[in-house]
Amino acid sequence: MTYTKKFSGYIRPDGKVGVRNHVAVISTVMCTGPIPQRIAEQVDGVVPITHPWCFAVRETLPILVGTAGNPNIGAVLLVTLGCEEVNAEDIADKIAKSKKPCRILNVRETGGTLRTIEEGIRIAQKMVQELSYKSKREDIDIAALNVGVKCGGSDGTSGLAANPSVGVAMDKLIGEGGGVIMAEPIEMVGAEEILAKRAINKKVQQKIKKIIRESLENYPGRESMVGVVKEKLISPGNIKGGLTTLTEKALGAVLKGGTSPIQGVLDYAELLPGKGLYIMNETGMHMTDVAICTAFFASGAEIVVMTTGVGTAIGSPIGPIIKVTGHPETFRKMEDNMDINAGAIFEENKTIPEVGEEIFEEIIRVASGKKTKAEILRYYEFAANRSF
Amino acid sequence: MKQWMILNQRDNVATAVCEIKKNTVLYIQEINKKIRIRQEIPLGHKFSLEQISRNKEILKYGEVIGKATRDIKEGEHVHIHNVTDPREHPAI
Repeated sequence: MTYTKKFSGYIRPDGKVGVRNHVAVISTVMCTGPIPQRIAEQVDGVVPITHPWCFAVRETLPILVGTAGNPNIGAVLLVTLGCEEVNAEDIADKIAKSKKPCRILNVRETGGTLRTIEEGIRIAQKMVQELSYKSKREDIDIAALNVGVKCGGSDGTSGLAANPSVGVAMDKLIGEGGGVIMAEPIEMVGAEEILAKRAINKKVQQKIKKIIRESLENYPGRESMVGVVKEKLISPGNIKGGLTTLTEKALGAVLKGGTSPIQGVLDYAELLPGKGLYIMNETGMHMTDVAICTAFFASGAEIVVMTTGVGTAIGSPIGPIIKVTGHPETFRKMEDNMDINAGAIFEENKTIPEVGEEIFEEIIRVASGKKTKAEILRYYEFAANRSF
Repeated sequence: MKQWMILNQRDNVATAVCEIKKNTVLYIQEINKKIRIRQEIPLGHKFSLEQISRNKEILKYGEVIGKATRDIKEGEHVHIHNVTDPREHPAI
């Protein structure tokens, strides 16, 4: 099949394509102190990453490996304390096949935080300079792109404007050979049969139903909160706003992934094995918006598209998060944080296909270098999750 | 400015995107039909595009979102008072 749409991206030595060219300073545990942040303050082109879980290796290692291995990251500096279970050498080993420059600084061996910051600045400076002339954007098929889709701060407009429009854009992306990841099985309760029907085979079908059922069974405090669980899944606020059934709400949410067949179910932070639409599972503990976006990038998404009704400000150090709101007031009031106004469907009589096309074009522009509102303000939210 | 949206051509309900007063007559161009609205439809709520008999399916986004618990006339408010979600959620 021939694809026609192209974007301008960085082709990495391992063949993956990035939309950004960051130097990532990643602390393997927050106990090193704010070393990544201090280096980022002083070195242009550096993104700081840290997290608190030194012991949750099962979840944290894939997140950090996926983060460091993301093609948006041109070079990596790992900062380690030495006592944590998440091992810097492990991470460096696992991303070695990407052939990207990777250095490790041990705070204790280097002689404390101040010396580590100083040394880190020197290393990062060299890395940034090398990337600045060795990496060049080249024209490449949209098929190389992988996009995560998320909703946060949803309201009544989400299922009418933002999510359907993003779904149109995701169908176009997949039509061009790209990859899409959708998450939050708890939000799919009510639509499990409908989604399962779209699975490419019986195995995927069973997996979809299984993770949705389990997300409900694992809902925090469920044993004592059966009535409350039901209320939390479709709240009095939802009902007042016009949502009648859980299925209606779930459909409004899953619409953002588009209508493509579902290729498979990924574990939390599992690398995308191919193209098309995938659903990513959670860890045992329910995940925040930031943790899900972090997991999308760790799985290999270069861009995240996030719909919102009432507004959300989050960004990521790893890649662009394009904010789409269906609420025209939110777009006006939070213009600093919103990229696309799907509320034009209500106020300017635009259609869902029109806004969908606009979002698709914006994805190509952002992939080729256009910065999102959150990136320009350097919003670098990052969260690894754990299951206990 | 839009007053309603129909999300899929299979749907038998439309969603109001502004408050629609009782007795308003709407020309629904998507289905080439005039419909008289029988109750006030608040913003975000649904109204029927046709007569929906008791136990028949309510279709939105091209899928079954629930079933009518009583006969619903064309142009009626469609919500928790006349719709049930027939799917089982054993864990709830």
